[in-house]
Amino acid sequence: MSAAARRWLGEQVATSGTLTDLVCAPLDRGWSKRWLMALLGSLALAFLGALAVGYSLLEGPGVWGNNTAVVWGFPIANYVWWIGIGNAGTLISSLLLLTRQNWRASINRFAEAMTLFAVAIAGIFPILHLGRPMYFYWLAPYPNTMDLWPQWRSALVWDFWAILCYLLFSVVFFYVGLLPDLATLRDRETLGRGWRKIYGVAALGWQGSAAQWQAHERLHRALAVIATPLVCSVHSIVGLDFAASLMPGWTEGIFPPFFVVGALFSGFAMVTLIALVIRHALGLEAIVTPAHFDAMAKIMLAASVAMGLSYGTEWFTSWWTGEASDARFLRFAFTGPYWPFTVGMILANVVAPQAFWFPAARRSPVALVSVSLAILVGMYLERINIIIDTLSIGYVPSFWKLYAPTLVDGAILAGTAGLFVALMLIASRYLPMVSIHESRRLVAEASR
Amino acid sequence: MSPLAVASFLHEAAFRDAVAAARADGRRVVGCWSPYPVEGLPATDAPRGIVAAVVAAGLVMAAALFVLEGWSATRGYPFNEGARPLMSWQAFLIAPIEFGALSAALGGLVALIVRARLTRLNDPAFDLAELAGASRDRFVLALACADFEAAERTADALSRAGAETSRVAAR
Amino acid sequence: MTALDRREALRLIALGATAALAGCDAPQETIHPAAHPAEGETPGVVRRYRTAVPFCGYGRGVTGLVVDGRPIKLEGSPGHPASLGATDLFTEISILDLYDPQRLRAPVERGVQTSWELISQAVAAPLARSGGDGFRLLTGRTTSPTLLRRIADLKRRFPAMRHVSYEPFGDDAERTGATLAFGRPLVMRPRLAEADVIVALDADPLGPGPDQVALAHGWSERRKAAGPAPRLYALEPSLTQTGVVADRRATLPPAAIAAAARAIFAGLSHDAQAEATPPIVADILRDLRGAQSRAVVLVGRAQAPEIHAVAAAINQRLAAPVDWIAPVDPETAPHWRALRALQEEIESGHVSTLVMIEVNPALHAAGFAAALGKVERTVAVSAFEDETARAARWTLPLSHPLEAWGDLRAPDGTASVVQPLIRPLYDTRSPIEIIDLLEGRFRQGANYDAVRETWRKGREDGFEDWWAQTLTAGVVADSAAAPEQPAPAAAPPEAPPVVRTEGLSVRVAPSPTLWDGRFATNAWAQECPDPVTKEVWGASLRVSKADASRLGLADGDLVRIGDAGEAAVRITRGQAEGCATLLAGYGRDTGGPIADVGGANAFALLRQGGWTSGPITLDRSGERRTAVSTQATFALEGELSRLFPILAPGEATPKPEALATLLDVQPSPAPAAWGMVIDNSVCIGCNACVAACQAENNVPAIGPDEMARNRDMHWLRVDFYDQGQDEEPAFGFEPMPCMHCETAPCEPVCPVAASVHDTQGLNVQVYNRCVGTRTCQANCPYKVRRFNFLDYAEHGPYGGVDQKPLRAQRNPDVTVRARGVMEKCTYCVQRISAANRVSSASGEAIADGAVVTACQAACPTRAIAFGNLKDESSAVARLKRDPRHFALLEELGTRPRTTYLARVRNAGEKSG
Repeated sequence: MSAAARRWLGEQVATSGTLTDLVCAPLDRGWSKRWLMALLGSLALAFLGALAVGYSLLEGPGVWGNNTAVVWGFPIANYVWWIGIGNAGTLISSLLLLTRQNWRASINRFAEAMTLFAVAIAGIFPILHLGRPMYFYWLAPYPNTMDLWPQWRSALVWDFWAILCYLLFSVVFFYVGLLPDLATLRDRETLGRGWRKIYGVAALGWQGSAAQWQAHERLHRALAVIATPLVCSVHSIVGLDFAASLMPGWTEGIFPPFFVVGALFSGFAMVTLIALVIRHALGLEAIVTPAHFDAMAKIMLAASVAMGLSYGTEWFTSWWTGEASDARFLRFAFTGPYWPFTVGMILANVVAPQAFWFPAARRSPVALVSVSLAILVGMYLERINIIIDTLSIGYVPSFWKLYAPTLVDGAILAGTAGLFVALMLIASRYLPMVSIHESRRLVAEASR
Repeated sequence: MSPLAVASFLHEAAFRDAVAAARADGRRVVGCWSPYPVEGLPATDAPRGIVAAVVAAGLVMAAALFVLEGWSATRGYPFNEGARPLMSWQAFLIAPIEFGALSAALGGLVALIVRARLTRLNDPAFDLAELAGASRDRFVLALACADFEAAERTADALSRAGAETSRVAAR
Repeated sequence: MTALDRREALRLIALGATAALAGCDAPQETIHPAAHPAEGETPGVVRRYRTAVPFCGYGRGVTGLVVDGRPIKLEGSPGHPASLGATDLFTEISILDLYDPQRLRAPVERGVQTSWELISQAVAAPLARSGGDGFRLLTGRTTSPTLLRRIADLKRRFPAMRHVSYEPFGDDAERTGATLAFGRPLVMRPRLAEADVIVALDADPLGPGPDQVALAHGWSERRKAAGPAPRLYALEPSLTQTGVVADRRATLPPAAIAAAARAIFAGLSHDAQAEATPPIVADILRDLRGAQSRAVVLVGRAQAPEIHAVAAAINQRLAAPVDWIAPVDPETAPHWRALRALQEEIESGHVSTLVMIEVNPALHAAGFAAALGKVERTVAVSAFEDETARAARWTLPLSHPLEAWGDLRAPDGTASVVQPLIRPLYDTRSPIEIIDLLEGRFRQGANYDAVRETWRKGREDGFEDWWAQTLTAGVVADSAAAPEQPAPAAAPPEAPPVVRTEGLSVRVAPSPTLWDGRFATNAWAQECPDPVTKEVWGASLRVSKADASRLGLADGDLVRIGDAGEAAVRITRGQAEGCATLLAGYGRDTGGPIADVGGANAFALLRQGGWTSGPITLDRSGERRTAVSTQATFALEGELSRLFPILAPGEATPKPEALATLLDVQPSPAPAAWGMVIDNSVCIGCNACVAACQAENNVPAIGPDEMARNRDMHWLRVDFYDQGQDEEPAFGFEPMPCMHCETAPCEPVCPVAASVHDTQGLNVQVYNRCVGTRTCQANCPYKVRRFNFLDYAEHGPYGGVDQKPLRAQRNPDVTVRARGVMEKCTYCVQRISAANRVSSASGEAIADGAVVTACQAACPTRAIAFGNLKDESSAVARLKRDPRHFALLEELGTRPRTTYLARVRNAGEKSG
């Protein structure tokens, strides 16, 4: 047991105390110049995105590349992509908690933070992409003078509930996990008094008594039990946005699980990237170890194989049905004007991760960064392909239209990336990026 | 106002032994605090009902949303949506599942707050200076004693049992 | 001496806008509604008036729909021979001209606003002094009895004056050909309803033109009639609407078509199997011999007069169903010759005063604008700024036909009195008032008195009754020209030696949407897709594949076409080798933000007369420009033929088995279940329905940039199909409104229930509820929904011009859609609703035909049937039982209410 636990820890973290100090060090240090530069840079990017969003709200959806046939474009792709990234944090916390993979303790906190931010960003898009975003609340049931209710059969209503519930659930899950660590910060004398008061209020009077730990453990486990199917259902519903239709290329029974795997895939790629950055920037080499990257790379490898299988299944069924429209869709994906996206998607999502069959690649930062970035790009290509391949060539050839995004589309996507990085940077200075109380247990196991 | 014997341990094993010994001696454990959950510690007041709250909140709210859907689609404002049945119950199941999950989490959070006696920012336990160490790396045990003498004896015993510090504290 | 530049003109127009729309009032004189003459002035009630609007000088009867003093839509006039209750594109878009914000609103002298009094002093006074020496009046074709009478008056007053009329796309060749055959310029009027075999030689009878509605109507009557299937042959250098719907079509260069005409004549006269080149001539001869008096040969305006003479001889030999009438307008000189003579006269300095009413010679005749500098006093009377107005010294604003009394004759001679439906919106004058001005007088009500004076002659007794009756009927009874029985045609002259032109020549054809450029200021016209290429806001040079590969051209290459300017190349099927086609009406450099879309001015290629240029070199600019088109060209695959089945006569569409479904579609208890059936067989792709829908339903024009982004807003589109072999393609048109599916896929996906079904089976869109998720369109297999990506209703493509006047055109019964809202065809729910209100008030059921959708009303061939499917005897229910009936994408189980009758193509046996 102890040897197994030792794998996941560096030499320096021998005790709970050293671990606590290590994780809290970035909070103790306060702003560094490097951090500030990164924050300003990402905020500038986010500001550009905000300008683009403001311009879109002022002028209307016409400033995007969407057209009458390809009515969805970047905003929906952004939504699906971001919510997919959000998948990993919850899965790491819940699925690995349930399966007692205690190495998750080193990575679950920032993965959960990533989930929160990614889902919050994803949640912007279903509202922003509306023609009349000021009326988005009409999707919610509330008593009104017209006695009107949402149209519950619509996948978009399912989506509304899925995003909202997933986001709020993630907040609760994150907060419950954070509670004991907030108490640690409250009691940490190296932090300023003001901050300690804030942490103290947020810690809700956590003492760490045996009864509190028991209650906390039960709730955390219960939430994990719920979170695992919830996260699968959310991504299934995202898949249903497309699958609950009758358009060629969308009416795929495989879509819900396919979207879950895809989300897991891109989520782990993002977690890997963040882990590499955080490990280096926050000096957490002893806590986030090569063994973690090895494990995450294996998950990505498995997911990429599943993605390959899903693509293959989808294309095979398209061909096997003998439906003309499905066959045309398939031909279009590979020989139409968007073929580079299809090929790029396969290279990035299926071919590139095969590098992880080699143990050296699983521990090489360069390989990890390249493959993770490839996966993130590949998954964006997949999202946009799903939308534009189907909408560009529907059933009626007279209305086949191609899609091209505008600069505003690009600025909004870049802005969300900036916002995401900024939020992660802020979180890294004000919250412990590793779950301290869970890692302490790992240290205890290791030293046993 | 019975005094307390308070000890702070650096090692989990010693702490666990001390707690076990104290219980075997029939002492009243006022509290034991640890930086992470320690298995096998007998909680003085094991919190119950957390899972029940999670399950109940989830099921009730999911059912409520399903009823709202069914009512609004068949009675509240029924209309023809592409000839789909008014009571399209399969489609109506999805939002309640999501909402149930959220409600379960919220119900659990409320149960945690109630059961783990949270939101007490000014609990008497915080008067024990040792408690600050429990959120870092110390294991703290507080035993109720009949009088000061007994408390001193207990503190000594805890010290011998491996406590890093031990002292008598008035309550 | 500075010419008025465009920016300055826009500024002036904006200035004039302050005076815009002072009020929408009915004319002061009594005008007579077509129905309910006793009805009071109930606000919001649509009142209908019969009148006529001109096109190429001919009148087309219309029924103006007037609400609260505003004409908002023009529909057909059933009693009028050029309308027969239907309209064409140019009639439908005419209402927009009335409210067009670019209209000229005050007289202008060299860019500076002036007054009518000053004009009168500056123009009329010198005329009176000089007795009209060097005075020339230039108009388009003039058929108006009153205007002709007043011009004659003017001539009496100024004996030295000459009136020249010209129509760019007229019938010069036809009349000259008739003169060759009969010794006098007769006009042939085919009765296509009686023709079993029609041979169109470089002719486009179903294409745009003043007679399109009547010809298409006759042709479709024969198509729909029982009996042996008729056959339409089209021999043409470039695909036209006639070619699309033809049963047999051959792509031939113009000279080969002339040879074919002679071969047909020779074959018929010698009764021998003539050397049949091309092979299709043998089949034509076989069918002509078989049909005899039920066959007709038509020749287009681009063929030489000799070929028209040949056709006259053929038709006489066949005893073809045609009427010969004397020309309706008295001007018998070929128009182009007259215009060129006038230009020479101007250049030689013999013209001192030139008044040009509603013509644009500066666009049509090269060098005309420059020549105008030699004329002391040049007056352009025009509704819009154009090239001629820019070159003239004075520009006088012209009233819209709906603003002034007048009269017009249809191509068959039938006269109508034009009654105004609104007082002039601005300080404008009608052509009759311009004549008054030239005579040095002006007074209110001159039009009315002049028109009445014309018609009172010989009807002094009971004139008021006659007047009221005529206005109500929309036509002057028994005013059509009587058919003549010409003597047998002279033997057609021998063929002139064929001049082999090497290289590429360019055929100039009228634009089906802009005609000769006169509709270029009209945003609806610019945005109306070309029937064949589906291009909007511009036209490419159509080139055959062979020529393109010979010249190394690719689709979208920008080329300089001789002197005409630059246009993009479009490789087009059905284009003859050695002959490119360029549509007229583009390449305008003035006329406001709508007209100025660039392109090449085809008229610049026609220095030698005729409609085919000499050899032209195409200089590649190296740039590429993708033409804006509403229908992309993709390779069509076999299975797509199900979308547009083509049947042989008597064949039925395959009836698929009933689909298994989980849905339980219950019939609604409502008394009506609306449905539509469109007969692809008679759709000629004329776009009248598209424009009618636009006018009726407040569909905004969005401009070339938005169209280039594929955000077309037309609720109804006409799909063009091309699915045959290169040798003899099978083309066709298929109009696509909303299908109003019973199990609509767009409805259950809407999260806010903005897309719902009503009890009468309409798939309705609730604009106020729509939040703009666009899911409905994403899930619509027919892609018939339209999204307001921007605030199109209030921000049209008018540049800096204040477009508020457009609001007056809007149908008050139809919501103007906001930005971010989805919209689509409603089956004209406002008309259904009006009928429902009447029905519930009277308690009587809605009769079949009581609800007519805008597209249905417009259709010249009556291809669209609409009505209550619950009424077994309704026309639409009957058509649903037709063997040719099919539903689009039936296999998806959407159960569309809009269904089709498959196109019938009677290709017959091919010899050779």
